[in-house]
Amino acid sequence: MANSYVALFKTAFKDTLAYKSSLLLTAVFLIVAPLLLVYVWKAVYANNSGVAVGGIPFNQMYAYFFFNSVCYLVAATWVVWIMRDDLKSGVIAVDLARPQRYPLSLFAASLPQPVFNIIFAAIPITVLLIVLAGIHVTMLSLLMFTAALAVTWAISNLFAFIIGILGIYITEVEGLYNAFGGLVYMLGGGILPLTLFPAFAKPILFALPFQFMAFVPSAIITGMISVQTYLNLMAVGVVWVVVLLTAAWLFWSRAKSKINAVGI
Amino acid sequence: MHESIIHVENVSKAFRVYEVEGTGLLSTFKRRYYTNRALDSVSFDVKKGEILALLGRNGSGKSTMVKILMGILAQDSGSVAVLGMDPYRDRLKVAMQTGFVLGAHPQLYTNIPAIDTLEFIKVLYKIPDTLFEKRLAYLTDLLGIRDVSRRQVRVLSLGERMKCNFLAAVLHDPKVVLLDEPTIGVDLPSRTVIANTILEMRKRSGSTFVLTTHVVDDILIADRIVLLDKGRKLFDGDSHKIRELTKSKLQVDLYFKKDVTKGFSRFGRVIGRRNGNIRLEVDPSTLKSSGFIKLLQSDELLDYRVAEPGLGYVLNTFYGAIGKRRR
Repeated sequence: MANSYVALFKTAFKDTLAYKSSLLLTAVFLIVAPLLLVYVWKAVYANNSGVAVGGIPFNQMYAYFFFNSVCYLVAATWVVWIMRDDLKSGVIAVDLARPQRYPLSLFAASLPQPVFNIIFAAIPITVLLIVLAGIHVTMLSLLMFTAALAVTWAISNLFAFIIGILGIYITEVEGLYNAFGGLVYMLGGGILPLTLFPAFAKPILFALPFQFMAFVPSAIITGMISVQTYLNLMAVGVVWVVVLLTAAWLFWSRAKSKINAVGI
Repeated sequence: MHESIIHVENVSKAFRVYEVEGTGLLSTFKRRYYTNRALDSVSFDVKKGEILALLGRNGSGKSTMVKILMGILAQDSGSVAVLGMDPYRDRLKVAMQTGFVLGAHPQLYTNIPAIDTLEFIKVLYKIPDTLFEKRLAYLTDLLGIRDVSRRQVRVLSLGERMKCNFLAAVLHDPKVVLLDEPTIGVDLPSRTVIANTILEMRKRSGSTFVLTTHVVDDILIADRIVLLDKGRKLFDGDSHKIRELTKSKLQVDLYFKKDVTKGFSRFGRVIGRRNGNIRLEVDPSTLKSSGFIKLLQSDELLDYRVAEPGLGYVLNTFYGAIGKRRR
């Protein structure tokens, strides 16, 4: 059965490539948006007479936001939009009529954009940063960065799926998903590294899954956190993946009987 | 001789829906929820190799029934078996042995040629390469779309697209094919091709078909009709039986030398009148009455024709009778 999901991914990828310019624009936007913050931080450092903010020198901060854009490219998912459109239009009936498990076929069909993002944007940016910008990266930190990105991808897609399932009850989930995006941006290290948050907030932020959307991968590759801290945070991330996976499966098992693809 | 492939017993299904009160700017907040019984204790069986037409007006519960047979929806009560399995509980197993067309929702990817989706279907249903090539050649020939499958789906005509969809549904030679309005918006030649392919498949593989449609021509290939209205089964039988049930009248066309206007209502209902041509709807017994025989012997009459009304007319009469009863 696994072959059928690979075949679905290939077919969806071919279909998605028909919109190459759209794919490229989405990737470019995901790269550019976090980079704008580099200029904000440039101003902060200038006003601080170039002294390190919160113990982070400018070059490290600069690299942090560059790698944030790589995180967003990996975290970007179509799961919620495909599911929203499937439910609203009734197309979900076609997917459910096939001999495939809907959640898995949904992930297979949503993979083209992140794969495109990773191949055509995330990898080139990472290589450019390392080779051209001279950011010092060891093989170990690159491996840890990649492992953290795997958790980023899993958490992002599982949240998107859970919000997508809510669409069975409330139909339109765009507002909810956008609110979630805002929350992730603020609490995940999109505005500033989590190490700069007040002391009372840090234990909470480091216990939440949002830190994987930007902070953990970017912090480990730029040397902002130690290997020990990284391992502790990865343990938290893996627990969150298991929790979200279980929650998603249970929620889907209950919610699928509520689908009323009527009148199609 | 034929075993039951589909068994539906006392199946009911209700949906909670709402209506808004008024049309004002804030009317969306004034919702009145109610339960819509899409299916109400429906029972029927479909035998192996049978072509069953599931008919009914819009909102009669046909599509809900098909989705229950597909395992997409679960019934609230009653039992359903497709190929001896519960389609909701054993959805993956049932789906492997069934094909489907949802007329309103094609399963082909639109930005790539149909052959790409068909290649995916080959893997999905585990069709061996040689069999895939053989089936593809056989069906594309039968459907007249040999040159079409390598063109981007979005540039195909509606008829070509629907034929490709049908091909995608039956490529794996399913035991059961569920067709929900498979010829929606399709012209007559394409409809005929699809109908002939269904008959050919039934003859060759013994496939069983359940078809919902509003197109009368599609119904002509059905062995049996199950008619639903507001979720309830009103009729189960062949097209002859439905004609008997509606006490079908005969249509008589009379062609006169000149325009005639009066005196026909005593034979039956005048349903058409133009330039000396009169169309009457009469009881079969009227043809034997002396008055009618006298009319047929009239010098003014050039020609006449007696015919059974078409199935579309019969169904319309049936729907009309239901409407009156419900009022």
